Amino acid sequence: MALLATKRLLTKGEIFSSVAGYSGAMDSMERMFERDKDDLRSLGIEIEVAPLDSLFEDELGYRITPDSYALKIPEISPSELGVLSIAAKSWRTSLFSESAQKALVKVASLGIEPDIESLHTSIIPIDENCADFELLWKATFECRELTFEYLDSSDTRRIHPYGISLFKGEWFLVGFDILKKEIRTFKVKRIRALEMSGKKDSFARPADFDMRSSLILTKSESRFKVVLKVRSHKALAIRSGSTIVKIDEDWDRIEKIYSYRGEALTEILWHSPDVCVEEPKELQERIIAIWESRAKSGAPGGK
Amino acid sequence: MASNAVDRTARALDLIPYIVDRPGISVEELAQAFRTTAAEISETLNIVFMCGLPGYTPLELVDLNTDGGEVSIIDPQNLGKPRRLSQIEIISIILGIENLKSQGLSGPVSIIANSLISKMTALLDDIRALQILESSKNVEPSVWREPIEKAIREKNVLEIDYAGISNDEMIVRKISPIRLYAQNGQLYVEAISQDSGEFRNFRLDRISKLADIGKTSTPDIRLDQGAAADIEVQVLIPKKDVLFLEKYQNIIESSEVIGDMRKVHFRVSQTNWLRRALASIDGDVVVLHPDSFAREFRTLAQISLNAYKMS
Repeated sequence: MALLATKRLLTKGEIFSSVAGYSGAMDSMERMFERDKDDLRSLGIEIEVAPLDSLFEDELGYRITPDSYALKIPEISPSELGVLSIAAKSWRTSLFSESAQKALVKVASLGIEPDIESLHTSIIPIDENCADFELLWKATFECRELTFEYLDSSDTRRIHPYGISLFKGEWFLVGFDILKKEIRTFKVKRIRALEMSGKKDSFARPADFDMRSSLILTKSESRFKVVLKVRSHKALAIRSGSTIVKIDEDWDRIEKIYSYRGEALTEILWHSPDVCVEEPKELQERIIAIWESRAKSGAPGGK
Repeated sequence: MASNAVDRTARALDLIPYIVDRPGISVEELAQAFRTTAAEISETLNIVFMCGLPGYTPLELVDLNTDGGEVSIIDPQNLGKPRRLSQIEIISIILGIENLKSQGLSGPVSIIANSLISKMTALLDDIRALQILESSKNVEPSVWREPIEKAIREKNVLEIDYAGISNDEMIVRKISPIRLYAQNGQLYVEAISQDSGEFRNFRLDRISKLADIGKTSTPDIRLDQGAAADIEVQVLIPKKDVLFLEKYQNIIESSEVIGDMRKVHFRVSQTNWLRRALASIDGDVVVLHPDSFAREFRTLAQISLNAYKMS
């Protein structure tokens, strides 16, 4: 409070003599002062440190300017605060839930009554969790190298992180794999032993880097068309929203567009033997090969 | 939950302007707003009592009043304004608004949301923070959302036609919806089944028909969640199929890597859906135990092949 109240820089001596809590030997007061500065900085409070006299840099002064301390937000309306209150409930768990709630409390202290009723809007919390977000974000934002282990491998990955994405409630990291020399996408929950290394700005993100086009999973626009033979009244999930043509009493033909090949293969196998692939032939051959292998596999480990 | 000195200082700094704006607020209301306990709030208020400017006479201390459980601050000294938002707090709000937008907003509310995003973005130290973040398709919209939300508010019963995925058959259920939630990009409703009294979860995109049938008597709720999981199953699946492990991690007892395969041990109450889940894996799958399930899985493979031969 003293540093925030002062209009001029305070010396360490002035702080020790006027602020409650500083007492004892000079060494211990120095240690306490350093700890307090770290604590204030960890709260996001900026402490201005400058020489008291520009000609003599041996004595430093300290203060917190009201500008750097206080929340300054362009005028915010009751409806906007209403939207902010609803958006703060977007997260069910994790760092974001806590951070959004803290932001809401601060903005709600500006003397504005939120108008939520008239918005007629609600939010369904998304199922996210990313314990390491703060580290990922810092490394990505500050262009610092990350190292981690991925999946079952104990090989250490060295990555220049380019971007972070929340897609269908899952977190993904996109970055340049230094050893593999290509851009890779990683599911964050499969990352272990994550550490940040290297200095700030230790690499440059390519100017033409585009998050959206780097994410394979978000390329839902890449469509995968299949033609299926489906047993009558079966495979209800596949029928939903598809074009159905009757072949005979027992079978229908269905054309369906999937986001990607893997999605199609999983759903078709799930509904076997009530669904057969007609097109594309490559997918049909793959599925027949899978079933042939499984039909032969009798003993443990055998094929 | 106990908090450290820095957390308590942060909470004290945020409590002061919040109380200034709401004179007479109760400790319980503060605990709710700050998502903590009344005891933690009281402890933090004890810190606020001792805060003040150098001199520390009554005129220089934060003037806090807690008479009769109502909290007011007459003079906050120089702590009357809220602290600036941290970068993570700003990002949490911006992503939250983006999620809200992706769930479908009316025109006027959408304009308000965009205006708020602009204001929050202006608070970021560096605009590049948003260029490295991407949030999309977190919730698939559904036409059933509105009628289900209405039924939750009015405590009404819904009758739904639902495509059961394990048995691949259309079922008609009367349900009392409790809440909507999103998981892996899909919307679900948690509900009490009127027929069995058990809690059930339904994916909204598998509902083909829905009717609000008003209020009916509430069934006795069963909390035992159905049959006991007493069937042990052991399988070999491809090691590379991590997605399967993540999807079914709740029912996996143990797993170990053997060469290119992974031996997985499940405990389930019935094998119907597990047979389908294993079938849907892209690669070799060998059922090791029990023998009856291994035979069932091989038979499934044979009749699936036969279906292609008949084509």
